[in-house]
Amino acid sequence: MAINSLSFLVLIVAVFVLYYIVPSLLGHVQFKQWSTYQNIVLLLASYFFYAYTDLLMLPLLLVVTVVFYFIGIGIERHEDHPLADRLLLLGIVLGVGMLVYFKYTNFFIQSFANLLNCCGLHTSWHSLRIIVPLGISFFTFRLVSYVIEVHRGMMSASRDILAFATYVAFFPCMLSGPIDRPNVFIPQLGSRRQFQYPVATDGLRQILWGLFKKMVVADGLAQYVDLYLGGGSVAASGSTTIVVALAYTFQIYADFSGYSDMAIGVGKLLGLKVAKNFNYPFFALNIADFWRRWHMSLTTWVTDYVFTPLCFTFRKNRQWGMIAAIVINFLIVGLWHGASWNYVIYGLYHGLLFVPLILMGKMGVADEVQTNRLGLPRLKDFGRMLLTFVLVVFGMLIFRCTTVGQFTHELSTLRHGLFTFPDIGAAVNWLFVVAMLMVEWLHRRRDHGLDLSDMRSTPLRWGIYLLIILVVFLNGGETTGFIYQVF
Amino acid sequence: MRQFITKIVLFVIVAVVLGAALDWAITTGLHHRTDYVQEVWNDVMDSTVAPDLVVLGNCVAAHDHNPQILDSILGTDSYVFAMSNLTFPYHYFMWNMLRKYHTHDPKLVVLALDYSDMSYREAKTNMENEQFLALMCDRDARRFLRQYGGYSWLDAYVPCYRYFGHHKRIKYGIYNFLGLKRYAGTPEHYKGYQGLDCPYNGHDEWFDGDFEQPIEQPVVAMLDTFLMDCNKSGVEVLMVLPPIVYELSDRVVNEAEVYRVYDSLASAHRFECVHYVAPHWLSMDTNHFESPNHLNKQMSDVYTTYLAHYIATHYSL
Amino acid sequence: MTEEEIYQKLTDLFCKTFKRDGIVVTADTSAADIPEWTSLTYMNLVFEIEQTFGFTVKLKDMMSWQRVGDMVQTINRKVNGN
Repeated sequence: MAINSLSFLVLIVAVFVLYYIVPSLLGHVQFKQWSTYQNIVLLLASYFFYAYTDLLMLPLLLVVTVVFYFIGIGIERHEDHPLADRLLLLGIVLGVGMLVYFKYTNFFIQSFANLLNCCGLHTSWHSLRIIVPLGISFFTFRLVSYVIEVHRGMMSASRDILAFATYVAFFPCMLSGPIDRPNVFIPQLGSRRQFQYPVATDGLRQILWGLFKKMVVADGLAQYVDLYLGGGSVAASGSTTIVVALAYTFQIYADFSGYSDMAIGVGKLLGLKVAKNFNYPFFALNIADFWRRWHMSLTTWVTDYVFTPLCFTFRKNRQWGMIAAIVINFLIVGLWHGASWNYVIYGLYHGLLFVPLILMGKMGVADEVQTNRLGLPRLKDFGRMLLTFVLVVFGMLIFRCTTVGQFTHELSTLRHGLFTFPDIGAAVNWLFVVAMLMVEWLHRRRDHGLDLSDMRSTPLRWGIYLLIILVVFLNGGETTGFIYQVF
Repeated sequence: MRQFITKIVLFVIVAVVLGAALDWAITTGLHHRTDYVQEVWNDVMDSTVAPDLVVLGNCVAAHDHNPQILDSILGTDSYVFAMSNLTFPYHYFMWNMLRKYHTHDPKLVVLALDYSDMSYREAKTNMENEQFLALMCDRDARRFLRQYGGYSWLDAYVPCYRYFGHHKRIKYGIYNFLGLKRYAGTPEHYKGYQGLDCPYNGHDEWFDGDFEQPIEQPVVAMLDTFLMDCNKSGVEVLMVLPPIVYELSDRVVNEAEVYRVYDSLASAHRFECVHYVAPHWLSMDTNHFESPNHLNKQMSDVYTTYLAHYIATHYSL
Repeated sequence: MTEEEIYQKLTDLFCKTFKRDGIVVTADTSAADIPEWTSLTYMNLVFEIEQTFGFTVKLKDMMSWQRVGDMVQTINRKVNGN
């Protein structure tokens, strides 16, 4: 059940009615447990959603939820005792172990077999048939985050298994994040959520903006990108390869941030604050700034649980310790996407891009973009944005190429026809890319691209909504799954 | 909350009204379009043609029966009403639509059948499914397509829903409606006939396994009803099995059984059922064909001539 | 060591690590007040604190530091044992 499908709409309407309307109709009933009731609705919807997509793996989700619930309580009960550390370790090993088992086993088998092959030893090892549970990268990270936060004393262990299970399986974020933090999310489930008109309407606007990015921009570019990067044999000129890499960068952004907008919007509709995942990354002034704006729920996760402890461990080595920490950190970011060499190289590449920043002492929070009278970025800042963007696009090319061979092939195309007119696919798709970038540039200080809460005129707002719906109708419908759904 | 729900309902009403207007514009615009499938449907629904000889069937009917030859030999007015890759329920649907929009009954119906006709097919996933989109404005078409075609009530009643994702249809429809640019094109057919001027493209892999064709009893009953109707209204029916390349016939395990159904129904209603499938000589040479099911242009003329002479000797038109 | 002394020493360390004179360190000072405060300079600061006060900071302690006041509390505990 995709978040942009009709069945999801039916689910969300049903949840909305049970979640808000039933309690408000029974408003005279003095019931202290309305929050529990709302959590039951959310949990049932989440399990229904998960089972609808991946019934076989529902038991796994149930078991790990219960196990981590008790690990959390155990850690808290034995605070400042070695047992707490051991339980934390158990939690981390379980969470990461699950991820490694489901996502990386075949990679290890294959890599070892290849290695032995290189040494002249032939093995008869076969990759195993492991079905990867949907959303595993996201829910294991939520679980691991929980045990660490409890261990650090940043939150008390949840004694409400219903709220805890809802946190782990919250359906809008189940398949592709954002990866919410337990110390922010679980407390929200502790009290009855009252319907808030401005928040809910803003959620709807954010959903609409997400729909536009996914169904018009991302799906529009998908076919063109697949033609050249899908592993087919279509020959590209050098200039075309560059345009395709650009297109893929916009596609993955529109796809993933579109999904995130929809998930966050659904959260708002249900009165829950879901973690922000993108903050207009293309307007970043350097790579560090980019990563503070791209897939933020993952980067803050690794910053808190990998980078900071590593930095802390290596603190005597000053900046070299930090460089080591950042490279390891980004290798993990890369590997999180899956076990494949392109992700390893992607991580390494981004890690190394930080080295000059660290040596120059420019890793700190970047300044605001300076604009000129026309509201456009000043030349110097535009140059920095452009440089960052070019580095990102190159990284995306690494990310998209499934094998090293494909990547070197793409690079080799750059030698020919660099100055010929490229195949840009359907021009209208680029029109939508530009429209998306323009709207997001103008709204870069707002929560999301379609944040129109200060627009007074209802007819104008409705006109904009209808226009976007019309554009989705005219250009949408090439159903493709979400890119991050496979991670 | 009340304010929220009221506004949502209002917004949905506005959207639906605008959607309905857009739907109407696209549907009307498509009605002016003259590519093959759409134009045949326009001829049906605008009642612009009144043929005495009607050919019904799937793509075999469309590619094998040349009305020019039928008209010249028989001195009559003929027309091929065909829908590719679909089975008898659709031929019957076409017949019902013809009778709904035309007061003039034809004298003879040539019902072209093949081994697959007694099974169900889904129109929605069919390769030429776009012909049904604009058709949804007709109540009977809507009912039929929901019952047999795989279309849902959403397609039938939610404005614009069925056009979603059919970018070209939407574009043609709107452009034609606004008169901005006529997507007229040159007609790709003559009275529903399309000759295929290509060498044989039957590949070995098409014939790598035997298969069985389902014979659905409700479809058989539907054919029975159709023949009964025609009998009652004095319309003659000639059932034909147009040529199919022998190497394809060989693969259909229950081909003979299917044809027996046709033969027995024909004789029950005192109609004829003529076989041009193997071992008829027309079916025995791959050089006669463009693809395993379709004759090439030249041989379709030969076959139509053959058929026309048969009709001339057995029927008075 | 009195709290005052701790603050005095911290002020010196802050000026040294963030390479700027005149930083006023109070209990409520946090990363938001000092533009030079980045993850790298912060780690350097932690290292300097360890050197100056002669104890090893635990990750858990460091994670709980939201403002300088929290920092001073930990230092006080480690150095003076209260």
